[in-house]
Amino acid sequence: MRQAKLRTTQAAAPVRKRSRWLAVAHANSGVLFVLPAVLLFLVFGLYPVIYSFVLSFFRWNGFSGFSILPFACVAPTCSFVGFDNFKEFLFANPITAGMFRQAIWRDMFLLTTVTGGTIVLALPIALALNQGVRGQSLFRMLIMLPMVTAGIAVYYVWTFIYQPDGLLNSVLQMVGLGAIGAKQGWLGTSSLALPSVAVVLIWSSVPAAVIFYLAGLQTINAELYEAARLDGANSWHLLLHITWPLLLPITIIIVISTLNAIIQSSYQTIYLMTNGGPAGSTTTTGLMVFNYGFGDQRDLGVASAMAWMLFLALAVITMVNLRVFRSRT
Amino acid sequence: MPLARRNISSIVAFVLLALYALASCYPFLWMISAALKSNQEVLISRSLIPQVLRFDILTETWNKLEFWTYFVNSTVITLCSVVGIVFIYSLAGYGFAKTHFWGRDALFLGFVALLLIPSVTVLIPLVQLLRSLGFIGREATQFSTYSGVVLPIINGAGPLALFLFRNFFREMPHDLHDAARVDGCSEAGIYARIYLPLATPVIATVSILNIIGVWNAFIWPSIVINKDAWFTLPLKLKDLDLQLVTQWNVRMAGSLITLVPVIIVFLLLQRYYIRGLTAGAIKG
Amino acid sequence: MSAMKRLSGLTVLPTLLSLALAACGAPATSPSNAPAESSVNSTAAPAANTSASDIELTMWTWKVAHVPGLEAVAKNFEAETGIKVAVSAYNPDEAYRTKITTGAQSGDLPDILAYWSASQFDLAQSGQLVELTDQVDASWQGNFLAGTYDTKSVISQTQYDTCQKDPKCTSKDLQVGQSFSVPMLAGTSGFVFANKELLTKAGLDPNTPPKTAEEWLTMMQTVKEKTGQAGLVTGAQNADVTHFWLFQPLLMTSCGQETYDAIYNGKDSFTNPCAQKVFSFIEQIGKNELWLPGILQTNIDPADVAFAQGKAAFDIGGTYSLSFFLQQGMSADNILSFAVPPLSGAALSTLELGASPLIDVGVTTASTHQAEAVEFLKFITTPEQAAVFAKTVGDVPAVKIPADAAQVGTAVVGLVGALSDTSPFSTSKAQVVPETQKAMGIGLQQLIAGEATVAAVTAQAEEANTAGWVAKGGVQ
Repeated sequence: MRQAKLRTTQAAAPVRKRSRWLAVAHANSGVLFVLPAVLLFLVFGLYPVIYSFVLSFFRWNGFSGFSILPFACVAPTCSFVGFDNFKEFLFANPITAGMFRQAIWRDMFLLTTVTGGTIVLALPIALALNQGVRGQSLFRMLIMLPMVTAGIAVYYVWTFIYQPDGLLNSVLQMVGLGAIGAKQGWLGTSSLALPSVAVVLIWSSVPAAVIFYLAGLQTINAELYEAARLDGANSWHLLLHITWPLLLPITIIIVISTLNAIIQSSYQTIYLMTNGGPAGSTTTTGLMVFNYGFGDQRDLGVASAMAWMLFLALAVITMVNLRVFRSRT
Repeated sequence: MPLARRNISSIVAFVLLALYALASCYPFLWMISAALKSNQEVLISRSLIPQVLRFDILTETWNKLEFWTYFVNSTVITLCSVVGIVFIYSLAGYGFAKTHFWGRDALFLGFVALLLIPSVTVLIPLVQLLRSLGFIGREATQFSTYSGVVLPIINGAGPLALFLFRNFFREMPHDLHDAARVDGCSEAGIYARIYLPLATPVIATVSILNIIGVWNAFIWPSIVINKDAWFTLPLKLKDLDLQLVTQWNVRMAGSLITLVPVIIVFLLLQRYYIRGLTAGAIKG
Repeated sequence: MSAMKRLSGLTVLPTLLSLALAACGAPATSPSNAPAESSVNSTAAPAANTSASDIELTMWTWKVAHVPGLEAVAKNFEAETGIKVAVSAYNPDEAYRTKITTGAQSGDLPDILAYWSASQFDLAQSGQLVELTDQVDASWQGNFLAGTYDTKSVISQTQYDTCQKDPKCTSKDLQVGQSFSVPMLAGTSGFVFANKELLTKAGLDPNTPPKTAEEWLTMMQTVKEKTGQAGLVTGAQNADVTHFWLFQPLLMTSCGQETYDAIYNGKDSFTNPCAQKVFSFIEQIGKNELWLPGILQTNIDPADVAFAQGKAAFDIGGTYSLSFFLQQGMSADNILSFAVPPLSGAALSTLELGASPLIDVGVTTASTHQAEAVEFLKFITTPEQAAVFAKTVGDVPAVKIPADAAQVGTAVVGLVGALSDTSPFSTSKAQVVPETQKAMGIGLQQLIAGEATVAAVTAQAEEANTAGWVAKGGVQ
């Protein structure tokens, strides 16, 4: 760097302009590393996002008559409606608005329980695997299995497990806790369905979280533990004061990837397991967006508007989370 | 004394792992058992052990799936996606972690924000885009169609991969970077010769996650691919499934067959963890 | 010097990247170089003058169970004309809608499209369907059952008026009398199926259907007491099932068609005593624990499987359920079927059920062989081919077929025989607005689970109906 600067000052006058440009280019040359990613992002990431944002101010049936490049909105299949789509589910239509508010609460429930549950399960498992337990490679394989188990099988098996005469009720009966079993099935009872879905989501996101934590644990220098042990720290102290803080960046990754999974794919789980029921108790925003997008009451403008509200809410939550995490480190 | 404590903690760890392993492999075991049962038995019986073992379903499904044909299709799509993801986002991760340029942090935030936008709403714009770029449509070739499948998949996997690579590179001591710089190594050289080889665990992580994800991907490929001959294994399986009207045993046998390659790759990539883990265990 | 060297080293990277991508199949050129225009032109290209034997039409449907029937007809079509038809199915419903929507965007729609009857007008307005108004002449129209093509495939005056008034209607340009599809499958919900074996075991007469809903309830109770099996099952996880298949038939008989229409159309109220009785009846089934345990996590197919396995005495479904029972290994002799019985003191003493169109088929404008595709529509809606379809899938076509068991199968003859031409549903003008549909779905599920009272559910339904009609531009 310094060498380069020296060179520019020494250079003759006609070359100076070119050199200054070179210096700026050089200072920003890191951008070349991110260029492929950015190009892809602009075309396949940003463009559809802008499209859906613009669409949230239109009413459109999804088949033809609307495009962004070049811009077109042809009546009657497409029409500009301003903020009507947002108004519809925020306050104008009491039924939709009521459902949307409840859906947001369910999202919050899922976001907190699934991210929390995933971390609470994945960290001890990763620590245990990292200890060099007997048969650890077998365990690692078994614990990763939910990742490769095909989607449709997962839903089917869990539905079986949750049935009135299913595995969960039978196990509870066996250990003498039959009374807390769900007589009408875990997915058939409004108050239990959403927590039951959360369990499935946790179950499927734990393996990836374990992988992340295992990768993170490898980067922790063993000497740190040695030194702390010599200072008389017990295992709990080690966990609390060395492992957890050092794994915090990993935890943030897990939180974000779990949020991502809930937003991008939880609607599929819910659609296949409960279809939003019983009595709407598992209807999340994602499912509502899906139903407006491709269900029988299709209105892609409303779907986009809802997605954007969800995004705004999540962006705020994520920012706050990141701040809190950062400030603790 | 420390030895005893270590034993107790190993036992606790063992029990914890055993319990969780049971819960996590049950659905998989169920898949295997369903693949060996008659359809009627799958619907009625709750037992994992089939009354009569039927291997004919597995062999029949294997033949009907035309495994090797569709295996090649799936492999091409998965390999291209994963190589693309690792290449593009390890580069970008390095760029975001170790170099400086104008607007770097804002750009990174843009990438992360992408994670939170529900993908349902971008399906239609993506399809419109692919069509106007000439990737899909009636005249599309297999090459252009597959590009249309792969590129959005790469972009979709981007934020998380980027996050992982950036995080990893950022945690690495900056002395390494400076020392290499002093030795006259270019940025590209530093990335390729020093940082990338050290990133093997992250590459393994990103690869495992995405190989599984892309291999099993259903919705997006089913939207883009319209020709039977270009189907991936999951699409072919769904096709087979539809012809038979929900035969659970066939469905599960097909799923198992489809998953075998992923499981093999998974086992192979696991070595990278085992190496790292044993090293850690010896030190600890 | 070093700065230059570094820079040039870096510019190599994108090149490397493109090489790497090219090596594995992604485009090496930048996407903007792709021939966007040529692809647009190609879809608009006129049909090539190929001989019939080279033509392969494609058809999409969402009903997996119909594929064998369609393929059987396609085989006959090929034998007659040399034109092949390849049928693909995409399910469930949402996946099919996704496929069609994205297909419309990518210009990749098949030649022939199956669609929900009376929902095809959005597609038509968007220019995706070929207009058939003039092609469906009197002789072709003569093939269809009354109340199918004429009422649901052609735009009626009422439909036109409603659309003009509804700000959300996106098919305002379509004119009265236009049509874009022909009906293929017909049928109706509102049928109850009984497991005769269970009835006999419970000491009930397996051949006499209940005359009133109350009698029906008593039968369920008897079965439960005597055999320990549940009284009633249906796919109640789907929120619309209880509403459309049980509530509506009961409401129709309880209130009569005029009041029924008035209630849904916002001119009367769900608080009407005739509607209240229906709510209470559905509540009673739950209170007496007559539903199959876990009823709210039971969808349509699992419900029918449970019924076929003898886990419940009665199953509510429709004409389309029968073929499924038979597929599940249930014997036709073991099934007694009847329309949902009316409550005692109801306005109508029996419920007649007629066939209404369920699935329409149309030809897409994206097709390069539109004439041939229309030929296929004509072919599949001839009585002979409709009979082939009916016999293969065990379901009722929207075409007049011979009542001959040898040609169409015993099951279909039975189904057709149970249908009447004077169903109050075929003359009903009731429109269920989406808000009401949602609220009723949720409300009835709450009622089944005992999580809400009749009064609470009624209030929800009323609020929703009012809001729904406001959104639709006011009560008409």
